[in-house]
Amino acid sequence: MAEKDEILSIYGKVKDGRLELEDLSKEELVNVLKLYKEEISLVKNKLEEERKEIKSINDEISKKMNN
Amino acid sequence: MTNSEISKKIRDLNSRKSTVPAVKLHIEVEDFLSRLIRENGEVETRDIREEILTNLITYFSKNKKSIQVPVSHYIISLAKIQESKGKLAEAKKTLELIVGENDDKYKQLVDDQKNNKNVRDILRNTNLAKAEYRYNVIKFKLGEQSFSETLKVLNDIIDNTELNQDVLGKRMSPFELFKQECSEMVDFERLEVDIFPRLDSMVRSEGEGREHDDTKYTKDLLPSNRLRFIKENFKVSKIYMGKEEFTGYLLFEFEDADLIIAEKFWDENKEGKIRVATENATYILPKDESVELIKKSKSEITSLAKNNDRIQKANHYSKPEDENFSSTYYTNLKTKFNKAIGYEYFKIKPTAKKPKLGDGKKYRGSGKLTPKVKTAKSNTEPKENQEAKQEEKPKSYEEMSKDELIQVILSLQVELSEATGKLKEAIALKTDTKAFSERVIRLMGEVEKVDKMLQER
Repeated sequence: MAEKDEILSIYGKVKDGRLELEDLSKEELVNVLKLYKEEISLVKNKLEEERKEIKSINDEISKKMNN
Repeated sequence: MTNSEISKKIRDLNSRKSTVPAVKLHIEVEDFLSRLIRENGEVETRDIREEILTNLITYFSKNKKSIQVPVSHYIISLAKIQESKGKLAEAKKTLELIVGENDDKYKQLVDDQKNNKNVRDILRNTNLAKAEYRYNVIKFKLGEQSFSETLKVLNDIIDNTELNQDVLGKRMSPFELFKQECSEMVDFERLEVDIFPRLDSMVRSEGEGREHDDTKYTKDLLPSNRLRFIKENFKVSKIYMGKEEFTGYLLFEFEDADLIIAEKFWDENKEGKIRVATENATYILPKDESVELIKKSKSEITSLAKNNDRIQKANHYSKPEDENFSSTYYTNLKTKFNKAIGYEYFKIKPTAKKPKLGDGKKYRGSGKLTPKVKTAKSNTEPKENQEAKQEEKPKSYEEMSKDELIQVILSLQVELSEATGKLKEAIALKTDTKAFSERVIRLMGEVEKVDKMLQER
């Protein structure tokens, strides 16, 4: 999963670890914004999966203990 | 002196005004006002003195025979009271009776006084100079005049009159005078020229690279860089020096939001000498409550902030392992500010009260701590407002300006950072849960074994 600065590194405009959004054109900014949205969506989906897995592990333990 | 006694005195003065010579009345009034302050205190008698002076100014403007009375003196006194009560616009209007371009009956009266040999000794030009001085200081406080413009005008006034000696009994530079007048109020120009170069050099020699509380200070977070960030990213309308708990903070007010940013830049020792700050934090506070809030300790505010969306805190530092700690601070500040102005109660309202911080005094005003009823989640807005909002279609990304896009991206950066943080936590939790589960299963297996053995025996 891409780190946040990696998104901007697509445009080669990450300076000294600081994000230089001002250097991007409007079109590039729209693209960056969409990339962020996609990235957030991916992270949130992954987070949801992880939470489901945790729940299923917990359910499994409960089930075993109840038996 | 009770209210009824005060009213009686005014009635008495008013009833005798037609017969008592003006000068005698003036002396009596001056004596009365001095006694009022002496016996009841300056602050406690502000309202009644304001009323008396207003009555007198009205009276003398109608009675031109009273030319020997220095009306300008009353006007300045009234303006000073209004200024001390934070009524800056009213004070300015009062002073406009004798200052500026207004062709007013009072102006004529003052001009007459200036030309009258009998009163020259009383009036001289000093009262006019004092009025002009106050007028320009108030214009600065209202944000209508820049620091350098104000300084230039004050310089002219002081050079051409006896104001300096008259007011202070000694000669001071206009800058020193101004500093004394507006010690709690500053603007970017003054900060950039006067204070921040010194602060930066102190930080460079003492503070850069230092570590405390597991945090680091970087070049990116030099005071002038943080100041520039606020100047360039927010619509700052006024800046004040913080007092007491907020000594070393600058308090920023904004054109487009009813909130203030309190940003720590330095510490002061007991003698008032500036030092490099040993701790740093930025608070975003509701403006109408900030008068009360800034009297609380910082730990109280931090604790309040945990349960109150209206109070935000942005740390200057992140952990050293975070490579982007400076950008994290700037992003946090901007995002938290944008989040805060998104709330209904931070939006500027047409009926919003004048900011109480504008009184140029220590922050002892009667700010209310009662939260406003309307919140972002509430649905108590008038129907027409709701309909108007429904009609406002959200802009597509292509329709947004570059600045708006950057704002959205900055918010998304924080959202992504938070989501990534939660994901990392979830992954760690899953690993722990798995390990725990395996241990439980193993233990349960052993328990079963022991049970079996016991049953066999």
